[in-house]
Amino acid sequence: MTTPNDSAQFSVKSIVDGVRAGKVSASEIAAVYLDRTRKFASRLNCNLHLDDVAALGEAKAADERIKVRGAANLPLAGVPVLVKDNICVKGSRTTCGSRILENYVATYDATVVQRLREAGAFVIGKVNMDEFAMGSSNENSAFGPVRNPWNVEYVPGGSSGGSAAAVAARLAPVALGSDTGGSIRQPASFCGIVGLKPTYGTVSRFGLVAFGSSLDQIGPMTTSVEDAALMFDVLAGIDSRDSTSVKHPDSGFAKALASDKQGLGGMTIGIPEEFFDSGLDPEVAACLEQAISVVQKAGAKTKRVRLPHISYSVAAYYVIATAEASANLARFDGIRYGYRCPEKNLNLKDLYRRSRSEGFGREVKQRIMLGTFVLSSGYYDAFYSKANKVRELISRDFAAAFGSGCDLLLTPTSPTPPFKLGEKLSDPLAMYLSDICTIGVNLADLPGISIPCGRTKSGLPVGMQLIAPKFNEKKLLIGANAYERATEWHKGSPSL
Amino acid sequence: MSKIKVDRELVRKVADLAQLSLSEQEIGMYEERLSKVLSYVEQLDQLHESLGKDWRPDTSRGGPGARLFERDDVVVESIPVEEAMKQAPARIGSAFQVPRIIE
Repeated sequence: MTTPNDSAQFSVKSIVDGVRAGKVSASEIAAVYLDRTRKFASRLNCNLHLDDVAALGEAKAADERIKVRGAANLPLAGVPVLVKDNICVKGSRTTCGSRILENYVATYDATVVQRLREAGAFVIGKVNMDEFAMGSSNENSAFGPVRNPWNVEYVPGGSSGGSAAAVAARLAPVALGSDTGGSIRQPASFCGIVGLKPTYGTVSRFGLVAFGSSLDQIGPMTTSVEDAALMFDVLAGIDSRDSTSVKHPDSGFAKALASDKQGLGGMTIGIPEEFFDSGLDPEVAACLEQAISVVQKAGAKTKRVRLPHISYSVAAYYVIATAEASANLARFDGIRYGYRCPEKNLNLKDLYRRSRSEGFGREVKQRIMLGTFVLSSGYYDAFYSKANKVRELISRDFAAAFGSGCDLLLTPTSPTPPFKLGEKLSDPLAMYLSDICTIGVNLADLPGISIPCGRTKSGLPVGMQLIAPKFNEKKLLIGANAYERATEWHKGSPSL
Repeated sequence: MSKIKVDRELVRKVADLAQLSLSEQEIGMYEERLSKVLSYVEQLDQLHESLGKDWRPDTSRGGPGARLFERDDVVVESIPVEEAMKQAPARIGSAFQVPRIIE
């Protein structure tokens, strides 16, 4: 632990160690990060509703808890966490990056927030995102686009772009993101950090504003795999308030990493051919080629595998996710909370319509309409039923790949490096296709992680994705950690 | 499935179902954007699958034995009425205020 004046050196692990050794308090850690946030956040537009008083209050409460319970009993003692603005923190605004919830103050804590506090961590702030988590560039926020800290002309990825940019800029050691089709992993890759999307159901969705309920999953975004494991230890857990919650059959992920001697040695890593076709950007392809040779040198066998139905994944995803979104977002009607059209003398129907049309942004309205269309009479079978069949076939493709002897699969996280702001805004399809490597993992409920694996010639980060069978986060984290130890890519941070 | 033609009429119909009111300019924009996305999504039509007619997504998801979590049937505290009402854009006492619906 360095002296508490330079958060660039901090990690979740080093903060917990420092607090346990009595060298630093949660309040001191908070002060360092808030100072850095004041200096750099506005340049990146990554933070929302900055509130030093609330953050310091949270830190003080964490210090109290540490005093009462003892740091040794708190796995995340003194760790400040940034929270994506679609996750409820009681008493704080939770806007989902949308005008329709601009002034909404959460009336309860999400389960993940409760679990973090119980573990000694505290919420240091909320971060920007694509509106209702719909987007791959963080340009869809009603509160302006987030910028990539490696080059502010470029997007940070999305939809957890605020989380990724803030962690890359070391405005917190960790942020929570949510991932429906790649929204943790793709921005992690664009910003040069680690992003873990856990097995569906293992982290409670209670208090996460729903987008595509059968796909949404909360996960940590960190600067190392070890930190991701420490976070997952705390985040995973069954919750009676989420009916799709499942008990993880495994535990002790950080401990498993610490005691692991094998690393990638003896593992077989599958390389799905479909992700390495001509559509891959040459610079990303070169980074991945190098990553594969690192994996081989670390003792893993690699073998080519096929996922025959994966080419349908984007089409199936934009049917299933939008269908679910059209139902989930029907609750925003201007009556019970959120934006209400101020015009007088509207009838009820027009009040609904005007409130929704003025409150939602362009992309959200587009997806609501797409979802409404695919569920409408005459099209349900052609689109929604077909997409669900594709989902099943993709799950079976992954199961067959793992069944053929692969421990993990390795793919690019995104087919391209970060792109410029505005570059894909006019073409919805080009934007949707930037999730082509990540979407299949959500459709099949699998855990996936993005870790830094190189840089482009112009210095922008490139990430690779590892995928494991359901509930096999332990193997996933061990493989990712072994790769990380063999490389230096995770160590760099952008100069601001 | 025959090719779907997205025109202004279809956009109007879908917006109506989705409880959205769009300007003429927005209708034109969504006509173009939805048309692009739907023509891509239509590739699902080329899928040859062998799941059989008995396969259903609602009962098959998660594999055999998977089931939804069931809560214990006990009374738990909910958010206090006053707390929930605080967010209401318009209210009368403990009720949400809406425009008159019976003429």
